[in-house]
Amino acid sequence: MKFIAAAKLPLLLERLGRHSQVYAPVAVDGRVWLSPWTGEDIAGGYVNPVNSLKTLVYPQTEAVLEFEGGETDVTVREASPPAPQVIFGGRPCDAAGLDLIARVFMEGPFVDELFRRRREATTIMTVACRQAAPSCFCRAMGLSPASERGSDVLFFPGPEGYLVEALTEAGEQILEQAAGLLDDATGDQARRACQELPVPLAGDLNTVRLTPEEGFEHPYWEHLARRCRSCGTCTYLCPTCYCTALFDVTRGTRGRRLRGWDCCQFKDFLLMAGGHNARPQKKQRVRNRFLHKLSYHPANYGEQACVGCGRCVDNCPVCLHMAGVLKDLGEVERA
Amino acid sequence: MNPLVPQVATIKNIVVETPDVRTFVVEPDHGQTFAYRPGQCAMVSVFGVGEAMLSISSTARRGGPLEFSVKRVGRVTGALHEAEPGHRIGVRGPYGNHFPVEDWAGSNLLFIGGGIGLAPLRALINHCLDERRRYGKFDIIYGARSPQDLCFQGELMENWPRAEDVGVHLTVDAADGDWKGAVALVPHFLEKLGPSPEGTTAITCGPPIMIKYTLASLKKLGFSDHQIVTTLELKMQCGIGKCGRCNIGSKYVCVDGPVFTYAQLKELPQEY
Repeated sequence: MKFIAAAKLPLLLERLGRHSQVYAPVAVDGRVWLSPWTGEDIAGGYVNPVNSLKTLVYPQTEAVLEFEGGETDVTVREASPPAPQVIFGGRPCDAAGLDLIARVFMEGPFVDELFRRRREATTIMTVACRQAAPSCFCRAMGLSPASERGSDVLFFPGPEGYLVEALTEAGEQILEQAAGLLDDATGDQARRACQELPVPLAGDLNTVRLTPEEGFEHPYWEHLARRCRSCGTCTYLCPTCYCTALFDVTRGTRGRRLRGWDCCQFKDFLLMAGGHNARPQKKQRVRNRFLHKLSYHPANYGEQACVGCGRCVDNCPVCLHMAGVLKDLGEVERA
Repeated sequence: MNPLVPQVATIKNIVVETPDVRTFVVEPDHGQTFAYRPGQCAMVSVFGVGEAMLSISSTARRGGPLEFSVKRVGRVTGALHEAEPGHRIGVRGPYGNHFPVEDWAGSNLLFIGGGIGLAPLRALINHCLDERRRYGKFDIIYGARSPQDLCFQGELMENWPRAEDVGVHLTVDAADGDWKGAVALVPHFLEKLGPSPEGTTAITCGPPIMIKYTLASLKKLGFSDHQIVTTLELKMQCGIGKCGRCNIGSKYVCVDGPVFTYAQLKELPQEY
C-alpha cells in the first residue's frame, strides 16, 4: 500500500493529465461534480458527486457513427475512439454500479463496443467514504464505504493524505506514472484508514428477493404509481440505469447517429409506430423499473441492480425511491 | 467491430404487395449478406431518419438477396416507402432467435398469419417447403383487412396451393365486390376450420390483438401450450440486448425472442 500527501494530489493529477483527460471532484456553486480538471481546488467533504461515474463512461449522448451523402451515395464512418481518461474522486458505490452495468454491455451474445472502448480507456481512482449521508444504503446492497468492485485504484482519505492501493493492472500502470509522489504507507496509516469508515444505513433493509409470480399483481404497485410523477429524475441520476435511445441528427448532407440516455418511466418509451404500447400505464412502468432492479436483473446476472448510492432518495420529488421500496416490499411480503 | 454500425446496402428492387406494404430487395454494397434463419430480424436504417427492427421475409437457403416486407406505419417505414431502387440504406443483423424448425420433424404445420404478420411466416413457409418431406401436412391460414391487403399474392394464390399437401385458407375482415372467399376475423375463421391438434404445431404471427385471440382459439381447439409458437414485437432500439427497452420480465425480445412458444410466454409477465 502506498501513501500520498494531500498537498501532492494536484501534482499527481497534473502528471496523469499529460496523457489523459483527468476528471476530479470540483465544487460548483456548492455542489460537487466530477468535472474535467484543469487545476481547480479538489473538493473534499462531499458524500457523493452529483454525477456518478456512469456519466463519464456511458455518457448522456455519444456518437455511434457519422454519415455523409445523399440517398444514393451515402458513406458511413464509425465514431472515433475515445481518448484516455482518468477519473479521481468517484465513490465505491458508483464504481460498483459501473461494474454492474459493464456486465450488461460486455456479456451476452453481443459486446457493446462503445461501452467497452470507453471503459478500457478509463482508469477509475475511487476515494473511499469518510462520511455517509442519511440517504446512503450501500451496506444494504452488500457493499461498503471501501468496496473495491469496479475501481482500478482505491484511495483512503486520512488527516494527512491518502492511502493508495492499486486493484487492477490498469491501476498499477497509472501509479507507475506517479513515481516520486507516492511513499510506502506505514502500518499506522493503514490501521487508521481501516478504522475510520462510516456506517451508512444498513440493517435488514434489503431482505427482498422478489419473483414476478409473488409480486407482479400486488396492489402495492398501483399505490406506488399514484405518487410517481414520471419525471425520470431517478433514472437519470441512477448509477445503474442504462436505457438508451438511438437517433439521427443531420445538418445538410452530413449527419450523426447518436445514442442518448432514455427513461423507462416515460409514456412513449415503448410506443411503437402504429400505436401499440406494451406498458401504457404508469403502474406498469414503475413496476418494471423496480422489478428490473430487484427481480429481472438478478434472474440474468445473479445480483440486484442497485448499489445504495442514495441519489434517488435525495432527489425524487415525491420521495419514491429504492430504499423506501425495499423497506415497503419487506413489509408487503410479510403481510 | 461495433455491432450498432450497419452495413451500407442498396435497394435493388421494390415490389408493391398491397397499398401499404412493399417488399424491399436489398444487397450490401461491400461483403456478403449475413447468414440468417427463419424468424430472425434485422435493423434497417434510413440515414437521417432512423432505424426500425424488421423481420426478414426472404429465405436464406434460397440464396439471393435479403428481403424486407414492410408496412407503412411510422417514420422509418414511411421513409422506406418513399425510397426508390438505387437508394442506399443501412442493414445490421441478424437479430433474435429463430423458429425451432428442428423440433418439428414429422409434425403437421399450421401457419396462422394476419396482415403484415405473414412476412416472417413467408420466410418460414418457404424454408419448410424446401425440406417438405421432413414434415406432415401444411395448412396456411391467412387473413387481412380486405382482399387488396393480402400480401404475397403470387405465393398465396399460386406457389403455395400448388405445393404438395398444402392447404391455403384465406379470409378477410371486410370483402369487396369480387371476393368469393371467407369473411371473418382470423381467430373465428380458425375455429370454423377446426384443425386437429393431433401431431400438429401451430405457428402464428400477426398484430398483438390477433395473436391474443388466436392463442385463445387454439387452446379451444385443444392445442397444448408447447404446440403453439408465436412471435412478439416490442419497441426496439439497439437489437443487441443493451438498450433496456424490449424486456418482458427478464427476457429481451431482441435477443431471447422474437419467437416464443405459448408455454414460454406463460412464464413471462403478461405485459407485451
